[in-house]
Amino acid sequence: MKISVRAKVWLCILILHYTVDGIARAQDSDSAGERLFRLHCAECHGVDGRGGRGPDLTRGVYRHGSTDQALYQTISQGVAGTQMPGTSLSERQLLQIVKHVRGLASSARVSVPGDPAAGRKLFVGKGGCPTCHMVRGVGGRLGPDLTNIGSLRSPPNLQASILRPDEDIDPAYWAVEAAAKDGKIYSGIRLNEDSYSIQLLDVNENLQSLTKKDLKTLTVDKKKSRMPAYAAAFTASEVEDLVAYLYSLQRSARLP
Amino acid sequence: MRAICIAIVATSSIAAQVNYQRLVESDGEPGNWLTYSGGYQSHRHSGLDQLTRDNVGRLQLQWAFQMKTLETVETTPLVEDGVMYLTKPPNDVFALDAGNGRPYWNYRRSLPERINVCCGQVNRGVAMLGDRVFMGTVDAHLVALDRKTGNLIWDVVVADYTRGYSVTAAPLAVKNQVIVGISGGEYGIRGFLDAYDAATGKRLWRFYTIPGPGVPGHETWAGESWKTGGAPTWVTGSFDPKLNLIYWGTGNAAPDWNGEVRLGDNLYSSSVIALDADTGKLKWYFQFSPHDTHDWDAVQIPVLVDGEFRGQQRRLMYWGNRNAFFYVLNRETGQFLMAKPFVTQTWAERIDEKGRPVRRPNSDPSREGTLISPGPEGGTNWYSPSYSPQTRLFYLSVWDFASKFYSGEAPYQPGAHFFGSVPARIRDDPGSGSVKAIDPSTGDVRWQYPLYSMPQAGLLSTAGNLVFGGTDEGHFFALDAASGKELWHANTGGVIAAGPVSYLARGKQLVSIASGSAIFTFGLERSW
Repeated sequence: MKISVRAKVWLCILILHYTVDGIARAQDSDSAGERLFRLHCAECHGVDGRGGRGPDLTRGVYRHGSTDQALYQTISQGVAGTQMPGTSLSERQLLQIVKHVRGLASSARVSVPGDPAAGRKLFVGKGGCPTCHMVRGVGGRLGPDLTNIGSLRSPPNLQASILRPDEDIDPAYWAVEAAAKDGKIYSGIRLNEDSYSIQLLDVNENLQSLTKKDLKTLTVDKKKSRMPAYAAAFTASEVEDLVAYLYSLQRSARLP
Repeated sequence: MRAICIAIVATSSIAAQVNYQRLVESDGEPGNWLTYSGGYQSHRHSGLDQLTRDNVGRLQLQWAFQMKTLETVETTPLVEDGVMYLTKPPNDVFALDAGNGRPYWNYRRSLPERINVCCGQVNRGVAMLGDRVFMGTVDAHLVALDRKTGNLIWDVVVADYTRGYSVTAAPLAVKNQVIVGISGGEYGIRGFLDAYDAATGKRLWRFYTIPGPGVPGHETWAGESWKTGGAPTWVTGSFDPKLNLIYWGTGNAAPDWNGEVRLGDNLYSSSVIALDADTGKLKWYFQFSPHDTHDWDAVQIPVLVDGEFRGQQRRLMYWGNRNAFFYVLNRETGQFLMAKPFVTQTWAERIDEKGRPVRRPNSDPSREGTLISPGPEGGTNWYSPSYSPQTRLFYLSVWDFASKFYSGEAPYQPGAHFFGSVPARIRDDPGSGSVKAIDPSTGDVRWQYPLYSMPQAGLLSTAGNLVFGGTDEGHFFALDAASGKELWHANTGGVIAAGPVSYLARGKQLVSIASGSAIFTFGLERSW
């Protein structure tokens, strides 16, 4: 199953706002943080924090330190050697941004319907998901590793990825089909590309680096996920179970 | 005997001086690279012809110089008499043997802990005059260094860096002055162009790119918006010694994407300004994108060419603009002569006879998002074009794409971003790009060479009928200047976000390019 990146974090934040204990108390400073983030950070990190010119901030782990203090320092002073500048915002404003960035990482847990244990059975059984997805070292490589997916994505986002995987495809998983002049056919996901060559992981999970001048045809499909849509394959309650399972895949030991 | 010794010392010292006359006549010494764009006319063209279409396929790495920096290296090295002067970002300077890459000296600059620069603490190079080199710094100073030792001669404050002012452009030496542009268009600065006395560092004049109260053009800024209106001057301009005019491009009006808080044409943002070199007084201006709301800075290199246009001999200026149009102007008067798009553009119905764009309705950023081509990085950007007097073609790296532009609130805070919302890129269609050879007499594209990623590298043409360029994936390439056919390439393994230069070292033609955190130099055979 393909858990793709989606620009729905606004919705998620909204949902989290009203679901999680304690959030309501800090609603004022939250919206202030959102606003400041939009004004000062979104240009590079995206309005939803999913990255762009700057890194994805929704993963909850930050290269230059993940404590509040480290985040404060990073936002305040910038990061040498990157395009991340320092800023002259006030301490209060910086703290509001830190709080907002924390929220982007979906670290606040919500309760979901569905049975994670039943979801796991569907994942490995009927769904056949491990063919392409790895969880804790077991499974395939043609889709994203889902070991920590519950820490990275919200339940609505997980559900959308199961039902409508084509809606948003991570460029790291664009499907490649290539036919070489010597008759060989290649199919897989695009790992890298430049003017002269393309690197892929083929369907047999072999790394391939193809020289473009040796190819007869090359297509990179940016609109169609390799993952089939599972809307027809699962009942609504099965989807709930799958989402519950995926959401349980947390960075800490939370496997059912 | 003593008198003879003194005479010899004096002669050699004078020979090493890069005086103003040498800068004016730099075409006559193609073995050196004396200004950012290779001469006051900014052709970024080398008169050297040892490298040709026939032998360029044999180019080999001669030396590399690693700089231990995490910042993007955007420097254009200068070369004089076999010595290369380059900057390591943020603000260190090196002098190297241009033949083998071995350093003579380096100048290290300490910087404040917190610097507000929109897009990395970068630097694009030094200027050279007399026995000194000059560098602007990200904390908005200008420093003069001794060319033989790297010793600091003087250090002056250009502006207050805590308010978002910085210097990233290479200065330009003109007469006895050092001309310095300012960066900070994303921080609500008030832009300007400065001239400093090369001997003392004293400021000789300042031209504000946003006219203050009582000055013509001030009325093009609603209310108090002129105080934070941006219009920086963050890429090096050009100079016409005969007309005594300095030409410099200006950047976006601030806030970038919300024009409602700065109604009016917002002079002189997104313009070219022509200033008297002695006084800094405005001779003329031409605004490419009046009231820009798409972040289309006009900081591209003004390329000065004397040639025929529609049957008449003229002093021309060629300009490949971020707003997607290629322009030809009369550089004596600023008169508009021609404009033609070089990539898809969906914002202007046409450019009228005066050169003013007639905007399409609903092309401004909006709350719900407006899809416009080109996107915010523009059809081209700050990276240098090249003009070859041999092929009479204008070479430009371009990117063809669209973005959704959103408008949003824009509260100003000193030293903080001042965007007025953010544009959104289209994820599954990043666009496509190329190096284009444009016929300046018509604006037509003669050939194009495809690029895989949005470019950041400048171009260099040479008398050997070659065009050198680079890619984000680290490929440094040589093309046939007449046909665009690729003749050679090498993988340098780092992002190329700088312009190439060519020069002689020990009698051999070399080509250098910054890539990743290093300088790579290629030639046909080892000269050391």
